[in-house]
Amino acid sequence: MPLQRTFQHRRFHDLMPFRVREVLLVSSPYDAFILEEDGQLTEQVFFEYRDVSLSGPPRVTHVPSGEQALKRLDDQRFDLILVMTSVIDMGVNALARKIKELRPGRPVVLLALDRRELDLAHSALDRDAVDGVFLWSGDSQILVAIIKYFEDRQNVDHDIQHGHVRVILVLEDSPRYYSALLGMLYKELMAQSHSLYAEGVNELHRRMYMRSRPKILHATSYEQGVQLFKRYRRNILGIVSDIRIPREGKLDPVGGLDFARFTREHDRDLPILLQSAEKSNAARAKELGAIFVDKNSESLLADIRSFFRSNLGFGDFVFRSSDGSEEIARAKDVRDLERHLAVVPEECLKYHAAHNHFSIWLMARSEFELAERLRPRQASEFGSTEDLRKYLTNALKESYHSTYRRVIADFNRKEFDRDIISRIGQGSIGGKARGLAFLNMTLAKSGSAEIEGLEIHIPKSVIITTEFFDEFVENNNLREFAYASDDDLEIAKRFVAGRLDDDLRNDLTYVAHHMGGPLAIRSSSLLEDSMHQPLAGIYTTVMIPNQSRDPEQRLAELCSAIKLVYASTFYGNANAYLASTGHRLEEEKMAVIVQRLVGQQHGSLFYPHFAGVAQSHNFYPIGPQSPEDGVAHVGLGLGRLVVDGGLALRFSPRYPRVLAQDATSKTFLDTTQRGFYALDVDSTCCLPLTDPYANIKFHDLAQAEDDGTLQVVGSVYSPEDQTIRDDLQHSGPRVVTFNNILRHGAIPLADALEHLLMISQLGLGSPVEIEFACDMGDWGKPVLPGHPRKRPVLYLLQVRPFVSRSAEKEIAQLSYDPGQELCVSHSSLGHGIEDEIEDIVYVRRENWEAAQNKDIAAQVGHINKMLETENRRYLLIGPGRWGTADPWLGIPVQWGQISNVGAIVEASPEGYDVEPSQGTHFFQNISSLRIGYLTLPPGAEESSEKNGQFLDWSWLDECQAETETTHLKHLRLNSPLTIALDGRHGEGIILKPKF
Amino acid sequence: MPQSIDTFMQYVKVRNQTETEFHQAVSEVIESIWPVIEKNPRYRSSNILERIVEPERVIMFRVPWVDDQGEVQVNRGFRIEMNSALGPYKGGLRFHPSVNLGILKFLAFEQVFKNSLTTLPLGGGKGGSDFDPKAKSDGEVMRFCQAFMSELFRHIGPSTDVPAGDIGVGGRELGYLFGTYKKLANEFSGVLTGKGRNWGGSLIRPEATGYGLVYFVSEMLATRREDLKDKRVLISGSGNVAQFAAKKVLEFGGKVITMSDSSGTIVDEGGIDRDKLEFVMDLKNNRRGRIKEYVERYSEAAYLEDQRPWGVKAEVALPCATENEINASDAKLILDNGCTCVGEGANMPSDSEAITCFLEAQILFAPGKAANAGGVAVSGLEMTQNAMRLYWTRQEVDERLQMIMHEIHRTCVKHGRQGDFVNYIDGANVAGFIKVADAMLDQGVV
Repeated sequence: MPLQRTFQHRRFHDLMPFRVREVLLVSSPYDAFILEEDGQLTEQVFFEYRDVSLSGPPRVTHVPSGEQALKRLDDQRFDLILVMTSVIDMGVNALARKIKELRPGRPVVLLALDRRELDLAHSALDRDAVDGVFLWSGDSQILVAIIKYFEDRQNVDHDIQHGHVRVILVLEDSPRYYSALLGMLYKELMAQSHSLYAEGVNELHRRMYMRSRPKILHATSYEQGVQLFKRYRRNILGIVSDIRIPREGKLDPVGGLDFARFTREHDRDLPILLQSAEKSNAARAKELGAIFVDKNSESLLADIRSFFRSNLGFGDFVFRSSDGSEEIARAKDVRDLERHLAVVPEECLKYHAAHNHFSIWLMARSEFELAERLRPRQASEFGSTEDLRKYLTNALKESYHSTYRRVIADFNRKEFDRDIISRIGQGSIGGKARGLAFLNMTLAKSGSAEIEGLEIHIPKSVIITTEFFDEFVENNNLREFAYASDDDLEIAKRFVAGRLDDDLRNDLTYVAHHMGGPLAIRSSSLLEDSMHQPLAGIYTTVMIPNQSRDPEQRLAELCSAIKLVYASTFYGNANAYLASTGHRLEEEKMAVIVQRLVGQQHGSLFYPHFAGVAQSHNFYPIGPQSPEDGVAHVGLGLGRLVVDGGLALRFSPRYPRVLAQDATSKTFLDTTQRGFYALDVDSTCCLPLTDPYANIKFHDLAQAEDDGTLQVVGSVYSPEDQTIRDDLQHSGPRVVTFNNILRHGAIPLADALEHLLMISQLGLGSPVEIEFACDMGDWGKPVLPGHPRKRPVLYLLQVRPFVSRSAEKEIAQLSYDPGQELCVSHSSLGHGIEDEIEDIVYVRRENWEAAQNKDIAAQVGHINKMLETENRRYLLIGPGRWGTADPWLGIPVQWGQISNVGAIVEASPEGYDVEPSQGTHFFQNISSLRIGYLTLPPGAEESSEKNGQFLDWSWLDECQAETETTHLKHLRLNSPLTIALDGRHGEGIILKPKF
Repeated sequence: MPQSIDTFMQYVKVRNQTETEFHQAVSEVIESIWPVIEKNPRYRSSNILERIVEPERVIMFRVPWVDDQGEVQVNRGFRIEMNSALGPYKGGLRFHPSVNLGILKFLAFEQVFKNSLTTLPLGGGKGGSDFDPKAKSDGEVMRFCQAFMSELFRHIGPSTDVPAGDIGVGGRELGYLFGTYKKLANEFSGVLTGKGRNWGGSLIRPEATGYGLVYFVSEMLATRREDLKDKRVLISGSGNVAQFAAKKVLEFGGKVITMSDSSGTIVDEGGIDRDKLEFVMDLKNNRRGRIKEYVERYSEAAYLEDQRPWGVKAEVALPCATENEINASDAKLILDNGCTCVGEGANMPSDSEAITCFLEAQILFAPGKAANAGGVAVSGLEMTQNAMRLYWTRQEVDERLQMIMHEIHRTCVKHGRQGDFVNYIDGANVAGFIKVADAMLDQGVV
């Protein structure tokens, strides 16, 4: 399902569940002939539908008799039955009753050919069997009106509940009048909806306008009118009523006036049109604030149309002077309205606000949420007209952006500045773009475009869909070559030399010019970021400065970047990865996202204040954290630092003040980010061919301090006081603590990430990983008076499923023989299955004492070096906290002494009770390198399990040693161990090889 | 009074069962001072050993606090007031889950002699809690510190017991502890050392160990009528101690040839001058880079990957990196390269075989417990400044540090002289013990 068909659009898709698709016309052949004077009825209806861009016109089936009608009804489903008086084999009432018996609830409508027939039939009609009476006026438009009227009647409750659609209430007892009136009203409604069509950003959005048009409800008496009004009061857009209407069984010459009076008591601004053949009623209608129309007027149709446009909000919004007489400005669409609102005179603004015109106009345009938001606010609530203007402008702006951020718009130069995500082409947008669009819509739906002052956006993006990739590869004869070549550089060269489609180049010229500033050109392949093969980081992302004054240069730069992304589809790395996931290269296609790079320029450098990755599941929780609390890694500068596993700050969004590094200020000093990545915007000479990062350089923190970007995330370690000071005024080493954000709340980053992870996880239905970058705007900078202060904005760059479900399944389905377990732990870190390790190094239990830990560390280092030379990873088992600085607590290995370790088991003898190594620098490495770490309770061995946890020491001791030292034993097995870790539940198991 | 080390240790073990760390510490001290005990019957007759291994007071208390989730947590707090013969109890507070009575008694016992050696009026003590600051929020750490001090405050005071920081207790924790003490005791006094510079802390704390080491080495050289001027000096490490030792060596006219980190050693035959040292300090303190970058900046230097400096020719070696960085073969290399003076800036950088080599060669060898006492000394100076209610300038503190190191050296020489040779290890051990023991004798059986 295309992603854009979600949320709000899905809501509109759900509208109008009842559609008339099959109509049965029961009439004499002659009547049918009259009806079909202008051609086949089906065709007539079809053309009527087509004219107003309605989809799925119904088919009309004609039968000449009641018997045949009943027979057809027995075999086939019909949604509406039109019966004419000329049915010869049975009366209308009899036929209608039989139809109701056969198909209860199916609407039966009497269609009279002239007034005489109408009067005859009307008087003797069985109201329980016949649902409506209409007069054929020689215009097939009435057929559309009947069909739409019955659809509306059936759908109104559902659509109000699911889409807040509006209702126009028509009170008219004369079939002759209401037949003409409904025909006219529906035509007007359709025309209005159609006029909005052009405003839709894509096909789906355009259809939304059609489906959410107001519905028409028809009453034939005062009582029925009151009943409908009461029921749908909150959704009524306007009322059209005759003045002479039945009331208490009799025609009341002023019943319509009373009805208008009654509705006015509930809504003083409700637009009301009163019709009457007696002109004398005009003054009384005016007293009630209603529009009066003379039923006998030659201009009746035009008058009603005028009412629709001027009072029900259809057509342009006309700004008028305070007495309503003079036109000041005219808004064709919501953007126009927003523009004019900013400049129209105060009196004009007050006039429209006082009469609720804005809300009414927006209602008619299906902007229900916005209309609802404006409706309850009275002009008098605002301190000044300028406050009112500000409120209205902001509300429009927010609503507008919220609407457009929900969709992927078709690329359109006129609206380019409006659209957040647009697409060039009709092919697939690829997995990454899908994720981006999903985020975009999720944000709009959850209303979380701002959290406590922190704006959250998607960077402006243009997606080039996959058919351009196909065309490019075909037109430049690259496919065969690319499949055959295993030389990435050659592939890159040939691709860059190829030429993109000319139309695409034209659009890209516009994009490069209007996006302004550095761009990130990201891959978005069909398979990328799918549920089972995340393919993260397999394809190329290129960043370009896009700053040349020469448009040709900019275009060349952008085209080269796109072609490099295309080329990366065929690189050896991607090829191998695809093969490992069971896909063929032929299946893969590449869409490209051209995205505005988040950040600010500082001299020749461009980078965000910080960037990072957040995951909804934390495999290495510490302290009060649980795995479901998620985890984030953030670093100053471009996200490459975090993505490449550099020294970044790790925190759980649920507990932003609990940092592993925070145990001592020295830990912060040891684990702090040392520098940052930035795009060098001066390096415009040529694009890197196989090194996409050639124009991204690493700079030290002093540069960030000079640029002013360290201020928000940096602190100072004070050697004199051995403490961290969150103020760069102090002297001492700079450390990236994010204290100003996480501890002092400069922006609610943790709250925002927690929320975003939550809604993304709900949306994707699996743990997710989000990439983000933040531009702090003018935070901490002086701003000249009168200049708007740029607020901090958190940009979401990507979302992808984090843990493939298949991995979980694998762990759950792991089967093994009884006794095959070497180790079982309920407290393990890491996730996944490791089945390539054949070496075990363990600390022998006999005569072990904590005092020997230093010697043991040295011996481990020695064996590690040997295994490193052989490129063999190993399982390490020993007592206490590995990597501790305090030799009394465990083996004080340095990272270099265990650099080749694959997994670690902390297995202590009884009484040696030490917490595991979480929260240290050592732990940071374990975590970032995804090394499994299993912890056992002291004394847990095969003969004395602790809550099901143990290590089979006897088996280890019985194995032949490859090497033995005073404290260690190194085993080399004939086949690999299986180390399975379920990070979600902290469960870990190591299986002995099956010999 | 026990007749042998074994019988005494048996006595200690019986009285302090399960406190294995304490047994080990007592054993090491007793072995080094046993000859002194044997030579001085006054210690035996007064049962000094039995008295000295028994803490004057052990305070153990409940520390309840509320975590961020609203759950009540309970930790155990300790203060071992080991010996106050020379002055108020002085020793760090350690917050770590491994903390128990045995470990703290062991640390407090060692502290008594360390403090004694500084020649300052400091007794010995240690304290802490099994609280783990890891994975705790700042608020939780603060609430814990407040709860801890709400009991401890009644047992400490500027003239009674002056705790300092240790593992898990840095500037932040000391701030919270001091704030609570000040509120409860209603006095702003020097009850803790390691305080912030703005509220009672002393200057040159980061420099103290490195400077003190070089002062001590200069004193040692002076015994042979030598000084550091123009001497080639090997320094291992590039952290705080190494950096400030290098700085002081340069001030004394010496030539620093090497510095190192865990990846390797840089050798600059032309000497690491002030500018180059500035570069190293910026590299290691601010940019957190590898020492290898020195060679990229100063091409005249060489880089020895994965090697320590001990193969380079020099007259003085200052191991300032880590424990056990000099083994027997390193020691031989040092000696073969003409080194006549080794001063330990790190804690126990020479293993026992290396020490034997140095002693057999009868070179000037300063054990860490004496040579790196500068840190403790500045703690004492902080107390003095607090008591006087004034702050000394950097220069004043430095001058006093130099005087203290001179005194320590003098004491070591006094107790370690073996003919023409001074065994500084013995000197330090004996000096530390005798000063305490004699004070105890003077003060009667209390």
